[in-house]
Amino acid sequence: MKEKTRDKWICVLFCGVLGLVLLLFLLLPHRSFSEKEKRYLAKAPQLQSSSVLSGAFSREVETWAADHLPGRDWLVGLNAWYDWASGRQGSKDIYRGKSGRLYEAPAPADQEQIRRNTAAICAFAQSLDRSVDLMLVPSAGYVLQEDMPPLTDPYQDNLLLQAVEDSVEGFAEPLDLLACFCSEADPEALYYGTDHHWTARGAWLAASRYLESKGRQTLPSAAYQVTATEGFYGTTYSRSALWGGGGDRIELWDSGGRFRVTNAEASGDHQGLFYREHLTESDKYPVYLDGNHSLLRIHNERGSGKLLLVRDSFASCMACFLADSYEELVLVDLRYYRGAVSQLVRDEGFDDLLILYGLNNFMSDGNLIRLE
Amino acid sequence: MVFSSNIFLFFYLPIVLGLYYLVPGKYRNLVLFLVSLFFYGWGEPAYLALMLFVIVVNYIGGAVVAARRQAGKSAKSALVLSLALNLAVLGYFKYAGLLLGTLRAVPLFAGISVPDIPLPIGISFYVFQSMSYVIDVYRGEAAAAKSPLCFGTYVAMFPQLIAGPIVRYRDVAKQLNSRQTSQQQFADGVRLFVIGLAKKVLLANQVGALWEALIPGVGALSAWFGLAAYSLQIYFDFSGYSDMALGLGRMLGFHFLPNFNYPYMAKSVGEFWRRWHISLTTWFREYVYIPLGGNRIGMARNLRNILLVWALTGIWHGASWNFLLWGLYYALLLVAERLFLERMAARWPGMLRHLLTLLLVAFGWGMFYFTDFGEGLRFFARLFSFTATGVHERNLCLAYLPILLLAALAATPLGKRLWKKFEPSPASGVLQILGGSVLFLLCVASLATQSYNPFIYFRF
Repeated sequence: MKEKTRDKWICVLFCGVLGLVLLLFLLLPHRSFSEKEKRYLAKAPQLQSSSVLSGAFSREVETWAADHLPGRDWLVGLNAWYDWASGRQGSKDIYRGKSGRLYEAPAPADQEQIRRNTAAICAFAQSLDRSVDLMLVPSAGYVLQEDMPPLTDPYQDNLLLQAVEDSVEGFAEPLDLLACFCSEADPEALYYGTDHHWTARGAWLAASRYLESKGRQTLPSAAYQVTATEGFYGTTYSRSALWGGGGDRIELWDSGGRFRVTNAEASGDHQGLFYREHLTESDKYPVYLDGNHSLLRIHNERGSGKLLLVRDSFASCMACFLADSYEELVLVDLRYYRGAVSQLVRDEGFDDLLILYGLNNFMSDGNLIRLE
Repeated sequence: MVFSSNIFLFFYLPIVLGLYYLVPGKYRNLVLFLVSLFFYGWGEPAYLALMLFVIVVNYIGGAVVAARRQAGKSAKSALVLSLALNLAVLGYFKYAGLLLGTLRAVPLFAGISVPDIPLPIGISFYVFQSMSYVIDVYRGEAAAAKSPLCFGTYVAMFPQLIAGPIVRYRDVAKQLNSRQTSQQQFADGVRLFVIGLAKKVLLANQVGALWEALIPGVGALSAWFGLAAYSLQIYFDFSGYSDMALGLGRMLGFHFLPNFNYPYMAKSVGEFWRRWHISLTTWFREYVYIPLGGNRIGMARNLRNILLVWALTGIWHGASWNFLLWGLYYALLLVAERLFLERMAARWPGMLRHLLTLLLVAFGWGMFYFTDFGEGLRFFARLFSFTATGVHERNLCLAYLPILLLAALAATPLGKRLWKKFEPSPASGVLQILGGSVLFLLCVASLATQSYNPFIYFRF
């Protein structure tokens, strides 16, 4: 190629690309919501003399332009894959396993946070003068350690769980899921590959362990009628931006029981545990109990006893199994619940109390201090 | 607005280039002036008035100086007045907070209030440019600007407005009145711009992320990694920005002088400063060091001049005492070099001198980074401690090792040399276009992610 031709191409390409992107931005319709990021995208800013003078208008335009850049999702994916290919995945908050599965990086071991959270649990148990059960879900990365790529930080679930166990001794009854999960024949079936949550099988296993510990009847996996939906892309997938690769399969395990769900945020009852409208979305996990709510009640006429579940999102799936056993199940999410949990316990008189968190959430959640 | 942003690349730049090339040649300065004001006002609408004030003061200053010279009268008072106004602007907006804040530490002045003045972007650059104009006119090295528009265009010109290079008036005086644009020049500009963008986005931002992640850690080894990463970050950040400025200038028909010449190849501290931020060292040499007598006036006064110039160079970089310390550190090194080090080192192998220079420069960056003396001291203590690096930091260092090595290679002229060899081959044109496109695409992808894009040189 002659220098002159080369230079002509450079000029044409450069100007062409800049102009084309501008044109596409102006012509293409703008999305209002990004499903991958689970947030509303910026709206076109209003021109006001006050915001122009303060510089706020400029910042709003920049956010707006960035949110609606043509091909944005694709570019973000390209960047994520470039970072991965240049060896820097270990520096991010989502690891990509050798198998292609995605994992939350281990939460930094914040001793102060552990101390605060366990102290809150102890104080809670003490004020009620009864023992509470504590179940922390091990992180997928620990259970599936062999899948970890090089240069990733080690998961220390065993040490962290031990530390938690030691500090709640005498107040809370910890249930060990770690050994149970690690000894499974197919541990990959316990967690999703594109989401940090456990699968129905993982939750069923944990629920069975809990019910056994309470001397209650459990249902074998064969007792459920399972329907599966493909194409589940969860939160680790959206956070990593490593687009491509297969999605997960999400399973609804139906015991044939009749359940009625009441929700503090919605009027009217919901029949059944599954909210199938979420199966059409790419993140299908809210199919279990409609995702996060401050307070949910599950009624099951054929069950017996009453259980309070203080929980994060891991419980949404597990509650679907516990509901078979209890007449009433109350799920409280401290991130949204503004009442006093100890008062709730005194008012309603629960047979069992269970605190259930994913270990990573437990390490970083600052809401447990509101237990009292 | 920074060059490495969506808003600049896909909104501002195509519109500006379109306007610039659509209007007849005689209106190009007007277009450039107006779009530059827009560029400046985008981030700092309130400070547009300040920049216009600087333009008017210096235009009048230059005109009065030229008129008095022509009439055979002394123009000294006009020069002094205009310089004083410039320095007052710089002093008030950049250093008042620092000085009053420091003064407050004295018990007698504990009650004074420190005004909260946000630093106007690029003020150190455009005030220095304006001063060079009046001085050049005074010295007869440049003619006064033909019109306020012409001078305003020179001061406000968006490519070098916020992070340099500091273009001296005499270097662009002719181009301001008439300049040629051509396809080849435009292509040169694109090449420079894309390379600069890649330096900033693909190298500086990445190694910068490593440095930020390592600062709070422990361990000597990770501290050394961090310091290396920061040294590379600051170089690619700044030289990338200069390249983009040069490239944009070229697209508009301007030729600015290069600002960097592989500074990390230097074998002495003196050489480093002949290769680093050349436009700034040139400015201080031309307008401070030489007028004070330079090195031709005996040892004592020469040492005083070095000390003064480097104290000023240091504090120019930011309103914080650590920058002064950093400048004095270089004064010390340069004096040592002049007195004995250079003669001593002349017999050492080049590799050793090179490494030693890199080490001294890296220590300098350590002082440069920490505006808090306590934090800085802790960092230097960590460098020379025997604490082991944690697993997390070790993983980070290893994960970033490829990009760190790539950056280190990119700081040498190796790539350029290889390209020069390859350029005559027929495939080089296609390769250049393809390579450039890939770089540009990766930059845009990184910007679209916008995860990490602080611009270090914004504080000046």
